[in-house]
Amino acid sequence: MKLKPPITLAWTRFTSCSGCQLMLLNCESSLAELAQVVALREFPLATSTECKDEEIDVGLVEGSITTPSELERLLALRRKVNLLVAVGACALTGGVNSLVRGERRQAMTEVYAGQADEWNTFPPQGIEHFVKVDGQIPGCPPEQGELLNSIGALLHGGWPGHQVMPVCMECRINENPCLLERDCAPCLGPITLAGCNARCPSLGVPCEGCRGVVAEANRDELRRLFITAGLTEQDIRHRLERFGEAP
Amino acid sequence: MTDFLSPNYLLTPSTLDTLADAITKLSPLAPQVNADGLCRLQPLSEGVLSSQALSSFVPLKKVFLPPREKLWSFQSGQFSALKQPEPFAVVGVPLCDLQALWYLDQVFADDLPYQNRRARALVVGMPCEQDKECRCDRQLMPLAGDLFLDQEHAWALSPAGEALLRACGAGETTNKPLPWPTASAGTRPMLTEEQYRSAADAAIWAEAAKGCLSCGACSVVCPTCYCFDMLDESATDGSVTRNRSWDNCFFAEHAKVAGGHDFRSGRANRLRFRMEHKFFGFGALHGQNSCVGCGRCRTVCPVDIDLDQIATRLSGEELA
Repeated sequence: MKLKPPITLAWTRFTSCSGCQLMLLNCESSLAELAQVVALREFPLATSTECKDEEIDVGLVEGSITTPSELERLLALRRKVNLLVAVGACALTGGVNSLVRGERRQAMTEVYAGQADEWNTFPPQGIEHFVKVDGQIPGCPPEQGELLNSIGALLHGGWPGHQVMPVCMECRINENPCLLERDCAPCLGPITLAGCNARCPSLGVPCEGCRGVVAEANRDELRRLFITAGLTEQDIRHRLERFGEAP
Repeated sequence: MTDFLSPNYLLTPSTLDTLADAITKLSPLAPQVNADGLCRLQPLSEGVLSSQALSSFVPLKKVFLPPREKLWSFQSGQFSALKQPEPFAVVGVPLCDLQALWYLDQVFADDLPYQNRRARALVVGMPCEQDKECRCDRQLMPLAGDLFLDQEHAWALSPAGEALLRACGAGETTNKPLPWPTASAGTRPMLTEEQYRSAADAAIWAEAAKGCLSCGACSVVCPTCYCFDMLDESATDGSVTRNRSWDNCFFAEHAKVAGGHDFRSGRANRLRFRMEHKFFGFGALHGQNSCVGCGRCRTVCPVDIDLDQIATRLSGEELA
């Protein structure tokens, strides 16, 4: 359904660093144009205004859900938005917030000592565990172009198509030396969803997998290559779990 | 084949210099090895005559079929016209890539963005040294391009190339054939389409495809892989842009259609498809083997998948 501009948009933040919001705020050259077609009802990094119970066209969600009160706010948001979009790794898979995963109890005690039990939290999770999600914008942080094009597509009544290819292909297209082959680096490029133009490997940094795993990823073979490259099973598990992806 | 028909001109030093100047004016691209050890087609830094044919990591196709390109955009009822590129040259192209160019010329015969670039390009081949991965075959298909140059001779590969040679003062012709590497074609596997078809259920497909990461590297470096995807991009100013970008037949979505049906599910099927397309072709090019034998795919593959080795096993011979 084509939406009539200006479309109402609420950006809601849960457990996250606000980096996703910052990516949109940093699209300076497009902000004036964006203001013509989007009416912001909530955007914590730019305004303290919070949307009330009005109906909203699009809700953008940043952050993972880790407390009962966050979950309540998420459910309330879902009730008032027509389309709900998960933005960034935290909202998609839990992101770096879910790093400790199996060692959560131990980590809580280390950080909060005797106060560990005072925090009413549960393991951080992506929002899809709780509510219907209509669109996803991956990445930590997401690409600016992808944020703008997603809003552009919503204005046309659709959602942008994505090419399901791994970071590896973009990296080969950019004619970078292969970090996995040349340096035996634990690069997640072969199984990570592209769209970042191989941002990290193009700078010589092995892919961390922030955009999530590509469809039908061959984890077994990558694991074999990593072990050949000298990584331990634990290294590999930590690497694959960094952005909340199950091993 | 084309090479025997290509008129060969004996070049005097002054003709050669005039020709080099003419090519230099076209801001030539050439394969050059960079400090990181990778060979890339990039703006020529040395003189035209000191360049040599090298196998660039990403082959010549990237010049005519860019990895990502804007096909058109549309805003407020107006289509934007395709930009016409400035005339340019590519030098130091190896023979195998000139064959691959011929193949892509057939595939994209009716493709406007491709043909716009081709019409403005002067493609200059140069002699190459065969390395251990090369298995070229002069009988495989004709050559495309405009000129082939060594230090004393120039072969005209197109009317435009011949006109340029004459304009630069070349006149005396010889019968010298193109300098193909000598010991090459013998090592290519001879897989027939019948053998390929009768092996539809062979265990080798699953076995060889098991390690495939679907990383996409093989099609990026293949000089004749041309599969692409098209995606529309909507900007917040209301404009829509249609983009084309390279694809790969090992990707999960490559053969997915409406309704989620996948008519090539699993890597074994995808490997079979890749072999079929590469060695036997489809449509008007059915029967044309498009593997020019450059060896780039087996070199780049992180898990050492080698189509020639599979073809050899299917045809029942052993690789020399």
